[in-house]
Amino acid sequence: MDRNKQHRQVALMRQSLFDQGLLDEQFVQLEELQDDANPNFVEEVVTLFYRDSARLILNIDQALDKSPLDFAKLDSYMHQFKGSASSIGAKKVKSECTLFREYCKAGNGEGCKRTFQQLKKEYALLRKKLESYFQLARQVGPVETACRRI
Amino acid sequence: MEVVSLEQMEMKQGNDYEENQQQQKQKQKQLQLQQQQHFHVLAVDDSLIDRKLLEKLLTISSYHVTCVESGDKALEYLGLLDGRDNDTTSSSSPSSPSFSSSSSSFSSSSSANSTQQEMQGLKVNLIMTDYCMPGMSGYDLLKRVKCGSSWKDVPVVVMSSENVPSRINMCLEGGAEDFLLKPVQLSDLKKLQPHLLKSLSQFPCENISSTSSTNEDDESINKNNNSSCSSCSSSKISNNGVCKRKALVSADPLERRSKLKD
Repeated sequence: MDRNKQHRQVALMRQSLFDQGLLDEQFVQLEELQDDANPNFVEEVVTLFYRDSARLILNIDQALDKSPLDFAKLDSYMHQFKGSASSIGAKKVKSECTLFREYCKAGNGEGCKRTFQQLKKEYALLRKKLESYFQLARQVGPVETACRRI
Repeated sequence: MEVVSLEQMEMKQGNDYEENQQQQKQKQKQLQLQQQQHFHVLAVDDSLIDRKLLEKLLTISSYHVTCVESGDKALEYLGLLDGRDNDTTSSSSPSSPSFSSSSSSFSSSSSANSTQQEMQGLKVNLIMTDYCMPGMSGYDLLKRVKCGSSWKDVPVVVMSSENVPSRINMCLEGGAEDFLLKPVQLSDLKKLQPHLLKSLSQFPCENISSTSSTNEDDESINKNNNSSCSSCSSSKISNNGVCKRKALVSADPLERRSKLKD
């Protein structure tokens, strides 16, 4: 049946996000908080993350343009950003954050800049993939719930 | 006329007893659940995402929750700003005025006096605070609450994304009930339950309820933690499972283990 095929697609898409190291266990935790009363909770949190972290990205970009670099400030921004990324289970983005902070501690400006470029790429890639995933899941979702009840 | 053997009578008594025990257990569970639903948690975190998460975690765990974004806002909520403290004296009557609990984010622009009056009946069973916050840190908030305020008996749990043993120890020494590593999970909240129940059991005479617990008066459970309870004796409480867990008000928490992830 078409629906079964769609279900499998969603499941495969979801699994690939984990297999590719983009998401970790925390994402599963979010899924466990989702229920019939709040069927789009995960998507809401992810959307909120991207909206909220946008200003941090901007702040860091601006701070990286300054000379000399204020590593304490950069580290502080990144600490906040990392916290949020960690809360949604964004595994790869989180590891870039960790790397960035290490460069901050080492006072390595070039390392920070390089890492931040990479971070932004991962951040954008994850967003795209999650958007596709949520879109498909929403199409298929309600049907799945109904099946589970039977 | 039916003749019932002695054996049969004894068996029936045994069954009745078991049934009774089961019924009692069920009622205790019901009571616990109802009390849980009245638990009010004040969550303090500067991160929007984490506030949303905490709110969800706590709501799903059947708690009422109020989220604030800073230590200052938390103090304001508790009526502790500017050294202003709604500390009632020990001779306060056990029957407190009406209370309020909310599950929405706190925002207040009321005048000083009316805020204080509002806070008279406020009930908070647990404070969960992030450690790293701009301005007042979670540790600062912990100390403000624990050191001589009317909320000093409310359990405070500190959360942090960083696993720093010295920080954890400092918070525990400072009176924190527990220290959680972020991101906080549902299982972490389950572990907090005993702390919350302990806060209730400090005032068991206010938890007296008839066995028909459906008619329970909210006010008998939800009291400002500071109200004293001098004429309480546990013999008054029959089916209340909470009284068995009565903790000494001044006792240190039995567990001071912090959660350390892999």
